Amino acid sequence: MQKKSWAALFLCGIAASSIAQNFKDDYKPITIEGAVTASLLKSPNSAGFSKTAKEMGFESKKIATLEKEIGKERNEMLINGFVYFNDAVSQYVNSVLDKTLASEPGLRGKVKVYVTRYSSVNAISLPEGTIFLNIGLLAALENESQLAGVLAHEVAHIKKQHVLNNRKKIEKIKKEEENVYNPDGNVFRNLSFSRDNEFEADAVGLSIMTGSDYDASEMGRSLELLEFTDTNETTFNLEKLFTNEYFKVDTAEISKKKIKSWLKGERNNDDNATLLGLVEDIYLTHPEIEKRVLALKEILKSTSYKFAGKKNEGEFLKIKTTAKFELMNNCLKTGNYVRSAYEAIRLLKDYPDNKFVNLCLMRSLYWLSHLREQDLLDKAIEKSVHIPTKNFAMLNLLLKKPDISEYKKLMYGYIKLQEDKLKTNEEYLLQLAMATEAYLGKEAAGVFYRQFAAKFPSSNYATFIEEKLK
Amino acid sequence: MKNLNTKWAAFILFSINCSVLLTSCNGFVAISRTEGFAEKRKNIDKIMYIAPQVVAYKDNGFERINPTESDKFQRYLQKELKALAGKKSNRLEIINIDPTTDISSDVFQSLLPLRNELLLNIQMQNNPLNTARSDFGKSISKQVFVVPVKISPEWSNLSKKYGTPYFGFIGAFTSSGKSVVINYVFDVNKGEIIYQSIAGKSGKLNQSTLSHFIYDSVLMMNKSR
Repeated sequence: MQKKSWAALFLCGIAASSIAQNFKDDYKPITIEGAVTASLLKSPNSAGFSKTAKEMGFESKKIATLEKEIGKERNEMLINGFVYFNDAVSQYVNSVLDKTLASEPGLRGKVKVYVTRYSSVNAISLPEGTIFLNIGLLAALENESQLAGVLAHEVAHIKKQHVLNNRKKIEKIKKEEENVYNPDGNVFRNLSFSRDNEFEADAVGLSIMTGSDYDASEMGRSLELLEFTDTNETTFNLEKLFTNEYFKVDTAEISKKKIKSWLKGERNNDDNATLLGLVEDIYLTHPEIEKRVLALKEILKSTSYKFAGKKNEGEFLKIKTTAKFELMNNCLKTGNYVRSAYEAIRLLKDYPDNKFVNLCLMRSLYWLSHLREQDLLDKAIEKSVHIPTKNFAMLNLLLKKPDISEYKKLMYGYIKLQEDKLKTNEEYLLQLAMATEAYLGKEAAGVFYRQFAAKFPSSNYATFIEEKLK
Repeated sequence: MKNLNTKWAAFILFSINCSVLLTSCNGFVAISRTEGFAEKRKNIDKIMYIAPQVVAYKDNGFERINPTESDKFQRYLQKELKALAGKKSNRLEIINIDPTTDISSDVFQSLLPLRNELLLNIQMQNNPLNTARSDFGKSISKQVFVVPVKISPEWSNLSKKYGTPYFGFIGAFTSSGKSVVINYVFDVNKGEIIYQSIAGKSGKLNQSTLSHFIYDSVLMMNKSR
């Protein structure tokens, strides 16, 4: 018991230090401290799930299979590092869930929320009580009440057992008419909810919200944000950012007409979720947002609801900023380089001197140029989750260069331009050396690799540099 | 490193056409090795295989996981690798991930992200694993490993920590329609792949086939060969 308390204090210390970053000069990504214990991987409400399934008429064998399938998918997410553990962001989101479900303590014990590293603006719930909230959603939300609204909606799916209900319906249809319904796809896809389920979850979620200290009227806005519209955001000045003595942005490439056409193309692809993001298409399950928002407004209006609580957004804003940095870094780590460059440019507007953001943009450009060299750029873009915004369109148009030499100029130019500001930075010098090697060749790059070896002899990259200098 | 594909001196690609009388199946093995692999192999004392994995799918595609069968194959793969680790002159160290036991911070922070980066790179290749969905078997051509895998320099520090620059992933994906066994070994100091093999067959994998593929593939890394 004593040990556990110390461990809890230790983890709280880590969590606090993660929030304490000032973001202005640098950022330290969230790391998982300590072991990931087996107890963390347990289903939050295995017994409750089995009991409900039994009451709904599922056979014991079927329940065991379903539980195993869900458990396998959940644990794959957890143990493969796609989820945050024991960190400030997870702790904060769980604390918001605590407050959201304050009036329903019985329910709180059966639900566990994890923040995933995924970029898409969405959250999902599993019937045994696990909620996965994407960092991409957390970065997009505007206040704590919206976060509570998202969580309340997912809790409602669990409370109403939509997954089991859908399973029951599928099996019934299958029995009645073979081959009419094809429940192919992975478990998560099978768990996707119907239109009616979504409306019901909104209504039940809203009722949870009105019983909490959060502003229930924000729930509709959180739904709107699922469509990821950054209409309030100022237009990127890519010309200012990338034009230098090595490279000049051709403004014709990012003309209004081209942006419009790009966005139109994206909208046409909306029906085919797999085209939008092969990896994360399981999360694109929310149709008819507009109607759902209207329905929520009507329900609220009928109850004469008025928010009387107090909003304290200080902690939320710190977490949201952390989420933005994490989102950018995760996109970089998962090869979603256009998105990581996009998120970096967004962050640079608020934190122009942040070394981490600058380096992230440099790395994104470097890896994009590597992919472009291998004729893989289109494939990489196809695999990343697109976001239909004007700024994202502009960046895509700028980066879609037919000429590899031009591409390398853009990458090298941006990295070289930061030399005065960052030349004493270890990560920067490595990136400059690599960019120089890609653009000007090994001989020129040797100058920087040698500089690196002299300046940072005990660096983590020492063996990599040694290999380069051989 | 830029044009790694041109450095792959040895590129072996052949089809195994199993007897129609026996199994009515066909398969292939594609192997690619870095330049001078035969010599380099002699210096490989230890390979760290990160979380070897078999994923068995329910239907004729790579989408719906069969957890029971996956677990069965997974146990078998672990057993085979353990046996091979003791037999070969290279030291194979297997880092297994088991959801019923704790996962150390080291594994979670360093090895799993490295494995994820490698798998991401594999996904970007034009190899049969990625084209398997529609044209499995038909798509085998000289394009198998056309895209060079590149690993970030940040992983080079792992070589000191684990006493070897050689890390790898070995695993299989199997469905009722097709199966693929892959083995990738890469050098974190250079940020490049030194050996990769993909073996495939139409139809579901069985333990015997998995065992053969794994044995042959690991044998290629044997320094005393």
